[in-house]
Amino acid sequence: MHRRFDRRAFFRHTLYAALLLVLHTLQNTGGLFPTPYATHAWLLIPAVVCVGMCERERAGLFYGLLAGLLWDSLLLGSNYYTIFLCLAGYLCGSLTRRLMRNNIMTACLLSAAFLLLFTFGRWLLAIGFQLGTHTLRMLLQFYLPSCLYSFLLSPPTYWLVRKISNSFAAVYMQDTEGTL
Amino acid sequence: MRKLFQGATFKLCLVIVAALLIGTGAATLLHGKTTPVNTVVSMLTAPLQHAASFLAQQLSGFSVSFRSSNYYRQELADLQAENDALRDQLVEFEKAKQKNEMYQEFYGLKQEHSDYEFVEAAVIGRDAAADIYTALTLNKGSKAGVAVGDPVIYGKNLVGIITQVSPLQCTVKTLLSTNSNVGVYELGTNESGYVTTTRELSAQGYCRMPGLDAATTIAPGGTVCTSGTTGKFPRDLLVGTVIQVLDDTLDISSYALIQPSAPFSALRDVFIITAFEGQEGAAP
Repeated sequence: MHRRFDRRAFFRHTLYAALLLVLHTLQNTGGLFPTPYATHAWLLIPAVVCVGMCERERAGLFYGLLAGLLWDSLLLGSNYYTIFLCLAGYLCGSLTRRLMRNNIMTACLLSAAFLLLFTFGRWLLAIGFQLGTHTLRMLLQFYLPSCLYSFLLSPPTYWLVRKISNSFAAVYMQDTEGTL
Repeated sequence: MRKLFQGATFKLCLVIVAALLIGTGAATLLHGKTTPVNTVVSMLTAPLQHAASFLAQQLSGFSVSFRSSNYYRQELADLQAENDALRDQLVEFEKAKQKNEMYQEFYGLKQEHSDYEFVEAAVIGRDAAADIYTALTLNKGSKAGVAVGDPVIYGKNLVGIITQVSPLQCTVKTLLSTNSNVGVYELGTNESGYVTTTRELSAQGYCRMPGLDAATTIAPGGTVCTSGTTGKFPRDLLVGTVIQVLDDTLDISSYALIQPSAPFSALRDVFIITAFEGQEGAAP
């Protein structure tokens, strides 16, 4: 294997890990990221989706695992986010390899799909699967607005991930003929 | 689509998810509610979390702060409610403190004069047409044992005398009333006399002790107390302090200008002495 390829891949993956660490910090530290109208941005979900799309299913799986472990480290007992992000990373990588193109439209589409899935799953867990006026208000006042807010941040997240992927993938594409 | 669920990576994904689920289940069953992996990751990221929290606290001091306006609105409302509650507590504390001080004086008085019988009363009204505190209305009346002629005190200080009584309230004529007439003596010199007041002196909040000898030894700073000789007031209730000794304009005598010791403008709670030894009209 060419030595330049290894170094660039190392930088690329280090940047991805650093990006997830920064997004985790921004997302879960109060006061560091804007929270308009008391909504929260779930930055790790579009990030894992975009990394999975750019790096395919195996990298998506491991970066989903990393992002999920970081998020779950605050809860100490639940692996809900880890399982969700692992599956999200894997599925996005697989879909991009076999069915979809890797562009901003598909990135937004997949981000929206997983954000909605996460929103309703998290909401149902929060209310204990007991529907009512109060619980519907929670969905409409917090969960759906946060989902929308996170979706609006998907394009810049995709741009950043794609920039990292393109910047450190160029030499690899020239040097090797194999695939991931 | 079938290819999505084939391959080594898919099997790896299943293994990881299964391991996570087993780990969660094991942590729950062991009642520790923490998986080892979570513990390790949280320990590794704890310094970063602390640094991020510190940074967030520093940034919150800037005018542009990434917190929603709802947060500050709620915090303001909470602080205002807390402020109001603390203010109410402070008012209650001050009231309790004043009552405590009054009761301490009352206790001291009771210790010295075991023959006194008291009724506690509150000032519920003043004469709105009068610009000086010549008359006060209290919230106790004949039903509580109050009668016309009962002295009214504030601590050890004489306030006045009851002039009108109804079943539920009564009226006090204070020392600042031009009709008041209290038998007194000066503590230092033992000179006796009486305290009254004029319209002009009353407007300034003063009383006078007329009829003093031109060569009187009463000096400013002297303490004037009730003499108890008339039977209307018990002995040794504080009336006031001598401010000045002046020559009377009507004759060759002198008079002492007296500052009453009872704070008429700030009176809220007083005591009515319904019975004491030597009271005029009392059964022997």
